[in-house]
Amino acid sequence: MIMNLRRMPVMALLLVFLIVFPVSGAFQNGMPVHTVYPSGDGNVYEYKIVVSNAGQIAGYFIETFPSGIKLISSSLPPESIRAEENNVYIALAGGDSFDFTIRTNENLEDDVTVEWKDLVGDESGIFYYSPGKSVIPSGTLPLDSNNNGIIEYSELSFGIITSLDRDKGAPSERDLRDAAWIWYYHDGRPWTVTDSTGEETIMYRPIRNAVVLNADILETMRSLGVSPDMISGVPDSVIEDPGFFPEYNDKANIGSVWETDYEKIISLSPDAVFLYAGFMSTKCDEIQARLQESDPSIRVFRFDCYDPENYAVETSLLADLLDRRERGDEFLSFYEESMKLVRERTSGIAAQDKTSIYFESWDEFKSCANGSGYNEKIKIAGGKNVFEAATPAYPLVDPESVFSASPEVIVKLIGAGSYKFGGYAGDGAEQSKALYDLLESRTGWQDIDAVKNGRLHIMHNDIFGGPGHFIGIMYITKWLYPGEFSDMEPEEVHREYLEVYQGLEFEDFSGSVFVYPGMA
Amino acid sequence: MASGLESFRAEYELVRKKKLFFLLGIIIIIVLLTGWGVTVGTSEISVFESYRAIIDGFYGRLASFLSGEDYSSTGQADIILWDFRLHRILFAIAAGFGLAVSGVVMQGILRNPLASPFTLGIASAASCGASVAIVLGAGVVAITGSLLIISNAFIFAMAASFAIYGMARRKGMQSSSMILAGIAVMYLFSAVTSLLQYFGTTDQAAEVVYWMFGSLSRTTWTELGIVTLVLIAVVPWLIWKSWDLNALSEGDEIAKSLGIPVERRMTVFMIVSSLLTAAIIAFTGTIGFIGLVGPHIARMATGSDHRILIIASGLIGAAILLMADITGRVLLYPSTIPVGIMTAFIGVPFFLYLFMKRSD
Repeated sequence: MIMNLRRMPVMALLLVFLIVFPVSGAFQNGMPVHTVYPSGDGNVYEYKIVVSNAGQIAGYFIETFPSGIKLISSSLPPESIRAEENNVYIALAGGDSFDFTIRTNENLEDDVTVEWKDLVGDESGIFYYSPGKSVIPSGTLPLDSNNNGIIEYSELSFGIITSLDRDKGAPSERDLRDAAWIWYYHDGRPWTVTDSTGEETIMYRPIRNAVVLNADILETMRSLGVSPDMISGVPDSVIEDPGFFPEYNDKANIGSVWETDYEKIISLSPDAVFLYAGFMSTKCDEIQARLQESDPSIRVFRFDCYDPENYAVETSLLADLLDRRERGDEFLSFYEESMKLVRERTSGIAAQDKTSIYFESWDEFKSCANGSGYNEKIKIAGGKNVFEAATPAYPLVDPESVFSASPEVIVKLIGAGSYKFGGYAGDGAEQSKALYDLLESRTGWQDIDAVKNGRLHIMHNDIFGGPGHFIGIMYITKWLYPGEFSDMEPEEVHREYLEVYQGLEFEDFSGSVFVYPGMA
Repeated sequence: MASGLESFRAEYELVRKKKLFFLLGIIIIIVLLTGWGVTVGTSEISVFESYRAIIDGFYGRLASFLSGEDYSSTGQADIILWDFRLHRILFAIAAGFGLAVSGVVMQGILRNPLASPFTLGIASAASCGASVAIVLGAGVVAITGSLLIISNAFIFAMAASFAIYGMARRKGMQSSSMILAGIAVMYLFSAVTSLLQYFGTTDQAAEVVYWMFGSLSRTTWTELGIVTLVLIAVVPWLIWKSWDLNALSEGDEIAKSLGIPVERRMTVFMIVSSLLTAAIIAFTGTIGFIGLVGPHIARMATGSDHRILIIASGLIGAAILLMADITGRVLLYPSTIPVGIMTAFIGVPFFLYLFMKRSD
């Protein structure tokens, strides 16, 4: 926090910065408030400055007292405040409020402006002192100068004050921010995180530079409010999807699970790499082994983030890993609200009363059966998949068997293969209509119940395949049981997902096909 | 002498009868397979209902046709038999027949037992055409249906055969130069297909793979009609010209001395057999093996006289493909195993059996 009395124009600029970029983390409750109580006799003035709503961690910098100052008293521990010649430095608030009194020969009147630097949130500006690139030894905590495995209050305070004071021994900005983070979130101690495979990792630093090879993790990170600044490398599918991932378009392209650009990943010197857990596990094990062979300090975290069976659990683990618990809880309650509604109402439907459904992926007559993710989602939606018992998990079915099953609802998936249109990439209305006509005119389909009753639907994989699956599941549920779910509005949930959790405008996709025909 | 001639004639008659019996046997097998195939599928329709639906449907359609009315379907069994099963079975017969005939012609003119429309790169060209449509035409396919894939596969296959013809012609139409040109073309088109798969998305690559498995799921009466027309146009002509094939398969010198315009005839035979293959695999996807093995099996049984070999190969091909398709539908019903995979499973053991038995 800078309390500056003479540099008003500069201060005004800094304030704009703070208003435009509201901080998260330590200052979630809002900006600190200060009050100045001046007193004096015309020669010597004393000012008691009371700061409330101070948050937990910040560097405060008070300067420009040309005639010199003296610290009279302070509610802060001595290691947290330093008054030197013309300057006052304050390291930690250490609570909601604090006060201190200084004595100077100048009349400050009452035009005091307060500034502060948040060390934990993403938006903290460049700190004052950064002596070159820091080498980060693994297995040790930053600023833990007595090496006892705990960052103590005094160690952190000392680091902040030396940094504010531009002392020679000041820590690098990175060390300072890491230490502040660890002190704030983990009581200054190393902590343990767990990924989806159950692998535990002891952390000595927060993740600052991650490479993500699974776009579903990236989408989930966005729901958790992770800043794009934390991510340096993304898979090609993200680069190729500027409609959905606009802010990641200029990140390094690290290829895919199939064709991984190892050189690029190593050259980004990430401190963490995020990979699939169960999906393509052999290939991902190999990627993990190769990366850690070339740089053992790279931590690899494995999550799938697409399967409704464990999406909530994975998201909660990911939130813990990234210290995003609050936002994680908020997002998960939104996610689970929709899923619970679907599960609760459909679980009561007896097997013989379930609506039958034929599901077809983008390949002709390629359906899904037991053991496939599609089938699981259909089950959640309360549907009776007519090919549930078929083998293999993604069977090519006999066209005749679709006809003889005469399903009540048909869902055709688009968004890949020959049907690469619509979704977040935009548009697709014309192709969807053509495809719809084509499906209706398939041999015998005019006599299938679903087609006769207008219950043939086209759905885009963008709301069924990845973390957005809950939206697709809601649509299917509504198609299966329009009466029971008349109050459920998948489109509105989709809007909220995009606008509240993904930082996108729903209206930007108003011409894009997610389902066809659209909801009446 | 007379008795020698008599015994020779008797022996010839016996061989002739054997060959005819073989042909008859295959025809009976095809009829039996057809009889089985039309009853295979959903359990809701019994064997009896299946046959009744065929017969009723036939008379119903005939009556509507004669009276000039539109035929309206009479129920589920009728739709399943007439809209799903019958044309698929007939298509298997026609496609198997055509692929094997195409193979026997290629082997004849190139005098190479390994020659087939596949070793000459025609199938890989068709696959390449299909991948171009699948990968580069993403989004367009939804509008055109599979028409884009079909026409692309056909155009590429024909282009490949003309390319081989062009190259071989410059080098002098010899079987070795044609085979070499064909293999070069095959590798080129395979490389392009791989490149497209590499640049396409995972699911597009998968779709290309599925296309290359070959399948009869997509056939319709119209497609059956087209293939049948091609067969009707091509096969009688081939049988009529089978003496030329006999002569060509004995070698260019002998064919020339018999007054056959070798290069011209080779060209025509090649184009015709390519057309036959292209017209079939454009609809079905790659169904390999039949064009190679159908003729071999037929040759083992009936000898190398093309007058009978063409028919015999065609029938063997039809039987194998039909058998493969029915098995592929039955094994995991309602899932189907693509017929291109099943042909090898059905044909190879049979082929090996004959092969081992003959070498005894």
